[in-house]
Amino acid sequence: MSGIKEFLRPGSMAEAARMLRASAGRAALAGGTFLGAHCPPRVTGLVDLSQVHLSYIRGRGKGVVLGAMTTLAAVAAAERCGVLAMCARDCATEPLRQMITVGGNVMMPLRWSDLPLVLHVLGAEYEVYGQGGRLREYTSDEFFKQPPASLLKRGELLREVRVPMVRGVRVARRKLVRNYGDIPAVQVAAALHVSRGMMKNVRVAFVAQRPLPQRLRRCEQLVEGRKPSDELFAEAGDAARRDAGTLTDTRFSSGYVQEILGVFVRRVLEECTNE
Amino acid sequence: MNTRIVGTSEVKVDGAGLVLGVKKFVDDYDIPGTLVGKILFSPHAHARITRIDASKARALPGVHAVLTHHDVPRIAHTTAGQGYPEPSPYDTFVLDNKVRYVGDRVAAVAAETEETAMQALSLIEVEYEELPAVVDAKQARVAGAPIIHDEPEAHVLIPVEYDPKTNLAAHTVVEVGDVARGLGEADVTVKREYTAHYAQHCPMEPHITLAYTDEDGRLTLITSTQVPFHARRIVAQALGLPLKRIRVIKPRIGGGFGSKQEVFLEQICAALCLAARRPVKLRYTREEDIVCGRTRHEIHITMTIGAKRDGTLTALRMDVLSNTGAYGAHGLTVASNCGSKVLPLYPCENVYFEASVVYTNLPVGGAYRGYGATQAAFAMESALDELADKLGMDPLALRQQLHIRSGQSSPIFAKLGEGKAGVAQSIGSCKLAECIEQGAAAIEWGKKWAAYKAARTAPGRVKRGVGMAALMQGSSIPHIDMGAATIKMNEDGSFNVLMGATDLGTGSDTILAQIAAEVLGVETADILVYSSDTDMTPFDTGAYASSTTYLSGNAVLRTAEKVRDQIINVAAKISGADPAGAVLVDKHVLFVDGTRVPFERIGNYAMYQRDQFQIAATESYISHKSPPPFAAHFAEVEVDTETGAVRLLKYVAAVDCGVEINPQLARGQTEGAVVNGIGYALSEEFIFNGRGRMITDSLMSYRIPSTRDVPELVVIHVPSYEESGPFGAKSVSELSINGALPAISNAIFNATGARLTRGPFTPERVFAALRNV
Amino acid sequence: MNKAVKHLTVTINQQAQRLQVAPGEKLIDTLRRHGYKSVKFGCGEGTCGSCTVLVDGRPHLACLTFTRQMEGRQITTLEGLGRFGELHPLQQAFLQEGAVQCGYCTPGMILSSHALLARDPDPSEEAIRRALDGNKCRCTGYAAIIRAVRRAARIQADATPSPRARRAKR
Repeated sequence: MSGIKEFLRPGSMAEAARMLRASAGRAALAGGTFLGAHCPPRVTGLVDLSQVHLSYIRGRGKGVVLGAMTTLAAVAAAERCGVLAMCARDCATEPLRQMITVGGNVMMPLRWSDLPLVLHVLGAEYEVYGQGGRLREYTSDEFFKQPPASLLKRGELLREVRVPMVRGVRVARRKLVRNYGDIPAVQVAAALHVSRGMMKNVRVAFVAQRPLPQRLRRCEQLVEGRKPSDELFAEAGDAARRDAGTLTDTRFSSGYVQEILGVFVRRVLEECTNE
Repeated sequence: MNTRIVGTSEVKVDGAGLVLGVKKFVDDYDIPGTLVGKILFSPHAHARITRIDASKARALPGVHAVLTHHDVPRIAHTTAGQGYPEPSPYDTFVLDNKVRYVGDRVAAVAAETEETAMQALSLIEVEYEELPAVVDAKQARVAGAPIIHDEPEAHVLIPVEYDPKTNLAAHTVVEVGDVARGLGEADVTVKREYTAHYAQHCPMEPHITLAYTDEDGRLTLITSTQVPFHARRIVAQALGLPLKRIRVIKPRIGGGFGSKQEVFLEQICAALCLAARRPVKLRYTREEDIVCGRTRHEIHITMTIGAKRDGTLTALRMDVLSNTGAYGAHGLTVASNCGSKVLPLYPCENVYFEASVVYTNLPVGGAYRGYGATQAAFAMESALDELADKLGMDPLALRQQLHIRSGQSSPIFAKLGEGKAGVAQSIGSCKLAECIEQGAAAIEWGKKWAAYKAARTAPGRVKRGVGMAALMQGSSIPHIDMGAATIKMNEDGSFNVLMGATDLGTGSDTILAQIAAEVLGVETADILVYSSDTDMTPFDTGAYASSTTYLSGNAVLRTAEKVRDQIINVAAKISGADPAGAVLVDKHVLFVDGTRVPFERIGNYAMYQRDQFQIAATESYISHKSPPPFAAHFAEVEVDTETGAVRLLKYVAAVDCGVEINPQLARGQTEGAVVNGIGYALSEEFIFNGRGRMITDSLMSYRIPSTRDVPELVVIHVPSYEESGPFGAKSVSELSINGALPAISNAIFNATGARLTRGPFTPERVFAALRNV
Repeated sequence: MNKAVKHLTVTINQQAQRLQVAPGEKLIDTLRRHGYKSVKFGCGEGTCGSCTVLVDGRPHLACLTFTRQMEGRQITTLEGLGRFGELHPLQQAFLQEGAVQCGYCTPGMILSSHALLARDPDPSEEAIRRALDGNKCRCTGYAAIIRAVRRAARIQADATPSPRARRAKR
């Protein structure tokens, strides 16, 4: 890849930020699984973030805080990551789990990345190391409203992801794939609590052709505070189909993808509320 | 069986080198000064090249050769690795002034680095006159369809039907008895069109060739091939070079499955080497391998079966429409195998087989494990399943009633060969009945089939089903293919075995070493195998048609026997004992009178002491029949009726391949073939955009199975003994790829009553079929 | 001096090395250039696993890794495991179970298995499938490979003295 003329290895976030700001041709290098395969021609320099101390997993109450350079494999192996660990175990493949970072995965959401969707339904927050070292936060809704990279100015970096709850929360996911590891035509996740038989703090989201996770608000409103029932979930599935709009895919017809979206919404809600 | 070495699961002779990572594949050869070869591919499905100018590319520093159709001989040939004269049409040029599919060759470059080569490609100026394209086999021969091979040079060598002006690449008809009458006599008829879809082999090592001229100025090709001798001949032909000036060597190769029974990289790599006067290594990227290599022929088969109420067949009719893509390699032979490897399985007085093979502007069909039998087994085994359903019979019982038995024959064998007439044969070893029985027991068919069928209408969104397929293949191509071996003895009692036979990871080097060791009374460690070098090893057609164990094995067997006789004679000279009845045991000659002479003594005597000569022999073998291995495959699935998703729970393959020379290697062939078949059935598909471009062109989008996609897999070997095979062996390597598509389809039918007529059985296809029930 | 091509300090198979590496160079090319031919090219885009190497004991895809990321790291290739006459238990087990057909996926498979056994010496079948889900094989159907990993686990377990035996030795 001789389009790359420089490879830099900062020892701190401040240094990394300075290096990135100095040249538009420089890109932040996290795990390398994206840039390693598809380096855009405008990138002439790589800024390797492996030495800026962003690889950490800290418990915080029922939740967890992940440094942006934490690998999926580290998340998968950390019991304190709760439901997030379970999800991470089935992301991608083993060598990729060892390379893909949380930060890289959320800054560059791809259709086959499971993590952004799960973080979205868990209501994660994203901390950015901004200009002058000032930190700012985004809610997941703010973060994924548009490609996250457009929220950051040159030289700014994602610093950590905070997941408020990874224990005591029920999460379920479904994907439409042809076999393991396939790019899903649609994937759906839900997270909720059950309190006195009623569903609380329900979040339901999906990823399809547009790689950003999107919440299905009408579904959420439909089921929030109510008791689980087949009819209710069927209604939620129908609402999801209407809300999602047309979902195209090269491998399945859009009518089918839409149909399955509805089925999956029903199923993740069912799974979350099963004893 | 009374053998020491044959029948044991010896570790592969090349195994240690492979697990240590020291065995060389083509890319591991480092010759100083080697240039990188790269090919420019067509973006159009059908176009004339009206202008091509490579001058800017040639001027780029670091570029040593650029070839367009102006720079290479225009010699029509076939890329199919088959015996000469090939049954495939001569419709290909090294580079042409026309492109016939998205992925066809336009130009080639050799440069110092990959980067420079890529840049050079981008500097080649090409003007195309786009032509209307045929992207559907069923449209290839309608009136007014664009003619894909309008060049005057396209022709066939042997008298087979060929009409490129109507996009007909091949056609064959065989009739036995009177099918129309048979259908008239039937109580029940089944007729349906099945489509076996495009697939690609995806060997882990993409196609790659290294070409260089040696210190005598001879062109040497180290190449990833299944057919070194055909490669030598075809390169000589295509470039107009004397064959004796070419040497082809096959080192370790990373899988082939038929994709490397093809010679398409070697000639262009050689041309670059000669033009650049430097060694050139040309390697396909994964994308190029998937799109611009070879594929499984997409075949539409209309299967018609007539039967009496008691299941007796009155008529069998198979109409085949095969899409051979832009070039006709293997077109006739794959289509012929649809009939010859499937129809004989169920003897019937009235059989009609007709195959048309058509050109399209799509990726090129070639040889792929199964070779027509895969596609046809889908049609036959699905149609039989439908017949059973119509008759209200258990499909297992129907097959048990109908399948061919040992001693029986089929007129199809004689009538349907590979371009020529076939070879009459009757079935020798056949344990298909036992395969069906044992396989059924392993999947618990008796307990499940009827119960699952009854449960179709029960409540519940998830349904289970079991399905089966009965299969046969062949062992070599009788009277056409030949294999030979040379064995020479060293003075320490070890032997060099030189053979053309091609090990693509299948373990043929090991199997053949075991056969030699068995006959020569030594251990496998005393056999030093060297294979697949056109200078050093005698001829072998190569690794295809499930030949190596049966054909090459017999060649090694005969050669070893000749060497054995020489050893005995020398020992008799040394000892004065009577050679009659002498045997080779434990690196000694043991005479009837009890005298023992060690090999070391014999070897030294013959090499150095008296009447010196090299103890050695070369023998050849042509097969006279193609004894089929048989199998019964069973699949158990779980279908999610809301989404159409199919989960494969269990797969059983019960196989009769005669005696297993090496049980572990034989089992490995079955397991590998089954999983490949499962991928074909459930997830592998070619998706084209409307203009003939393949968009599933990476392993991300073309889904082959991973460890997480493989269910419980049970392999049962049912022993039999094939008289004509070496130590009773038949072939095993292709057969088991044919089972998954029909067995899984039939299982889905058992579970849901939905009949799939096209794979892969992705959730949407099953979903749609469910809604049609 | 060409500023872009720098020296990198890296340990390969327990041998410290200083390598000249261009900024955008990929690990697969660097390793193969330096004679580690067991690292195979299968796809160049992280979908086949043929180029799997271990970095600090963890499987990485060399085709996606920029060599310069490897500063100060420990890399293991298949060349670092075993030799003729002294095969690593995984190599032994792969041979004995018929888990090597063409051998092209084998380096990656063995290294991924090696990483698995290091952190999970008695893996379940499911754990093995998960650990090898990035290593594609087209020859074996995976069954023999999974058997081989289990066998290697047993070989290694038999070779490891139990805590009691270790105490007794002292």
